[in-house]
Amino acid sequence: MSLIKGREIPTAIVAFAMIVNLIEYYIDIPAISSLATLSRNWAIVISAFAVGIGIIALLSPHMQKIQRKETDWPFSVYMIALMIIMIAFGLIGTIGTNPTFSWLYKNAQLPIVSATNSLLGLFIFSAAFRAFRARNIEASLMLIAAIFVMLGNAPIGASLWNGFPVIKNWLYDIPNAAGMRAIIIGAAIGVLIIGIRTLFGLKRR
Amino acid sequence: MEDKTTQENDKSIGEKILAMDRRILHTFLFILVILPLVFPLALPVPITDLSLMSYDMIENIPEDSIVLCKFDIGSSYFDECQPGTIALGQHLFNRPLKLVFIAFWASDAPGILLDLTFPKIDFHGKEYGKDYVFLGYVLGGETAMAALGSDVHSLISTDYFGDPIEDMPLMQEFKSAEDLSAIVMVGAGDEPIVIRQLAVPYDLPFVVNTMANSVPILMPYVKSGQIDGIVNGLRGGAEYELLINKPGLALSATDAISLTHLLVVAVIIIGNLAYFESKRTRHIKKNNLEAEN
Amino acid sequence: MQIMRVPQLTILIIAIISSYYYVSEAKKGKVHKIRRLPSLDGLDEIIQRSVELGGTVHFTTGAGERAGLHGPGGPQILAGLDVLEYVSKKTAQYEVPLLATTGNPEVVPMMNSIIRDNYLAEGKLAAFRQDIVQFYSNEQRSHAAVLMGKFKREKITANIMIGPLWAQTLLLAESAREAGAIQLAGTANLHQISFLVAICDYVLIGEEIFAAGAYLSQDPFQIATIKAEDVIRLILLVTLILGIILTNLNISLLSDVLVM
Repeated sequence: MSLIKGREIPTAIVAFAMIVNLIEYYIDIPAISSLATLSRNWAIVISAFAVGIGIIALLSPHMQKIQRKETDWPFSVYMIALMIIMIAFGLIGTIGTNPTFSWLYKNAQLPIVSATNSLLGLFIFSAAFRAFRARNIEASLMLIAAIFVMLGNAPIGASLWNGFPVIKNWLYDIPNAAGMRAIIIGAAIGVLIIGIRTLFGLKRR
Repeated sequence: MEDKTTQENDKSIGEKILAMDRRILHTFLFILVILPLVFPLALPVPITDLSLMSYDMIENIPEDSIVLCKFDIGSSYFDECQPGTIALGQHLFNRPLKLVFIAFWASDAPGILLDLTFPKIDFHGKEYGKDYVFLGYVLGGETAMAALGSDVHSLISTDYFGDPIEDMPLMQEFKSAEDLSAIVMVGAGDEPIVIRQLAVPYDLPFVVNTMANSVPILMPYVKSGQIDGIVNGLRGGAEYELLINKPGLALSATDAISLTHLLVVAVIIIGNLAYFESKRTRHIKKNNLEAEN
Repeated sequence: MQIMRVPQLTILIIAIISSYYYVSEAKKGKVHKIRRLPSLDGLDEIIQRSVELGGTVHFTTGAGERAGLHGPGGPQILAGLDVLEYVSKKTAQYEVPLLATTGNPEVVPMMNSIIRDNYLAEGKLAAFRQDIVQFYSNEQRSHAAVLMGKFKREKITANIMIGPLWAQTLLLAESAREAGAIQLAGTANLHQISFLVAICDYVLIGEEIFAAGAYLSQDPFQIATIKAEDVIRLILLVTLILGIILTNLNISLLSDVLVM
C-alpha cells in the first residue's frame, strides 16, 4: 500500500518516459523507438481520461447547486440537460457522425462561438481607442507602427498610398521579426529549464 | 443633479469624447461591417507576397505526391479561416495530388470539414482511398504528430469512418513522413510543433492558413525558410480565392475589412486628439485656478 | 546507432549540467540573484486591493483545446501553478476569497492540492472549500463566457491570468477591466501579449512567466535553474554573433554544424 501512495512509482514512470523519449529523439536505436512509441501511446490514452475528469469536475458543483436550490439553479439543470443531449447524440452511431449531433453543432454551437468571436472585434476596437495614446515616446512609436500596420493590412491601404504595404512589410520583417525571435528564443529556453526543473525535481520541498 | 449637469457642461470636448459610451463606437463598427455586405463597394484587393508564396508552393508540388493536410479548423478559427480553407482545399483538389486529411488539435475539425468545408469543394471525381483519405481527429497533439512522422500505421489503424486504412491504396504508400512531399495546415498556435516534428526533420515545404494575429509571430519562420507561405486569415483567403479564380465569402468580406480598418485608425487619431485637447484644457483650468488663488 | 540533432542535444546536456551545478551551489548556501520583475512586485498590491475592497481574487491558467498539460501549454500551466502557490498563500494569509479557474480538467486536482496545502500551512484550512477551484469548459469561449458573467455579477477585484492564454484573453481582460478589477497577466503565447499589454495593469512577457515562480518563492533551487537559463542564453548569443560574422564572410561552417 505504501508503494502505491509513495512517490516511487510515479517517479519511475516519469523517469522511464523521459529517458526513453529523450534518447529516441536524439539517438537512433530501433528498440528504444518502439518503447518511445509505446510511452507516447500511453500518454495519448491517459490524456483521454482527462475528459472524464472534466465531466466530473463540471457536474459536481452543478449537482450541488441543484440539490441545494441555490441562486440560478435552473440554469444548472439546463446545462446538464444540454450536456447529456450532446453526449448521447455524439455516441449514437459512429462517434461524432450522428446527423442530430452535427445539426446541433452546426446550428447551435458554431453560431454561439461566432457570436462570442464577434465580441473580440468589439473589445479590440474599444481597447484600441483607450490604449493607443501618445503618452510618451514608446507609446507614440507603438501608435505610429499600429497605424501603418493596420493601413498596410487593409486591402484598401495599397490603393490609398502604395507606401503603406511597403512600410508594413518592413515593420513585419525587421523590428517585429527581431522582437519575436528574441521572445520565441527566450520562451523556448524558459520551457527547457522548467522541463528540466520538473523532471528532475529541482525544487526545494 | 444640477451639480452633475454643471460638471458635464464643464467638460471639454476632448474629455467628452474620451468619456463616450463605448457602445457608440461599437455601433459605428457594426454599421461599417453590415453596410458593405449589403451594398458591396468592390474595393481593390491586392495580392500579397505571402499568399503568392503559398500558391506557388502548392503549384510546384510534384504530381502524384502525397500531401499531409492538417486541417485543424475548429470552431475557434472557423469564421476567419474557413474561406481560406475552402480555397486551399480547392487548389489541392485541382492538382493531381494525393491528400491525407487529419486533425491533431481541434476535435471538432472533422465535423466542420465534412459538413461545411468539403461540400463547397469540387473534388473533380477523385476517389476516396486512392486519391484522398480522411483520417479525422487523432488525440495526442505533439506526441501523436511525432508518432505520425515515424510510423503512421502504429498511430492510426482506421480512418474517420472506421474503415481499416491498411486496405487503402493511398495509405499503403503513406507509411511515414518520409513519404510526404508537403504539409498544408489550417489552424493557429501549433505551427512551431509542425515545424519541429515534421517540416524540418523531414525537410517538407509547409504552408499555413492561420488567423491574422498569428502572422507577425510566424514571420521569423518565413524569413528562415521553415514556413513557405501564409494565407493570412480572411484577407489571405480573399487573395487565394482570386488566385484560384473562385470568388467566395472572403472576397465579399474585404470591403468590410477595409472600412473597419479605416475606422479603427480614425478612432485612434480622434482619441489622441481628444486626449491632447483634454490635457491642454486641464492645464489651462489649473493655471486659471492658480491665478485666482 | 546514429546520434541525431547534435546541437540540440548539446544544449540540453549543457542545460542539465548547469542546472545541477547551480543547484549544488545553492545547496551549499550560495544565493543567486535575479533581476527585479516590476510586474510581479505588483502582485502584492493586487491582493492588498482585494483585501481593502472586500472582493475576490480570481486566478486562471487559461483554457483552450491545446492548453492541456500534454500540449505546448503544459510548461506555461506549470509556471502558472507556481504563481498560484504564492497567490493562494497570500489569500490564505489575508483571508481574501479566492476563485481559481482552469480550462484543463487534469489541472483541477493539482490546483486543489496546491491551494489546500497552502491554506493548511497558513492554519486556515477551515476557509478552504472544494469550490475554490472551478472547471467550466476546455472550450475557451465557454470558459470566457462564464467568467465574463462572474465579473459582472460578483465582486471580483483582482484578475490574475498566467498560463497558455488564447483568444479568450481579450474577452476576460476587457470584462475584468470594465468591472474595475486590477489585473496581472502573463503568457508565452505571443499572439496574445499585445492584447495584455494594451489592457492589463501588469504584464509578464514570454519567459518571465517561467521565472515568476522562482522570483515569488525566492526558492534558491528554482533561482539556480534561472541562472542556468542565463548560461544557455549566453551560449545562444555567442552563437548568433558568430553566425552573423561567419555568414557575412561566406563561411558556412556554423550553419553546417547547426543542421547536424
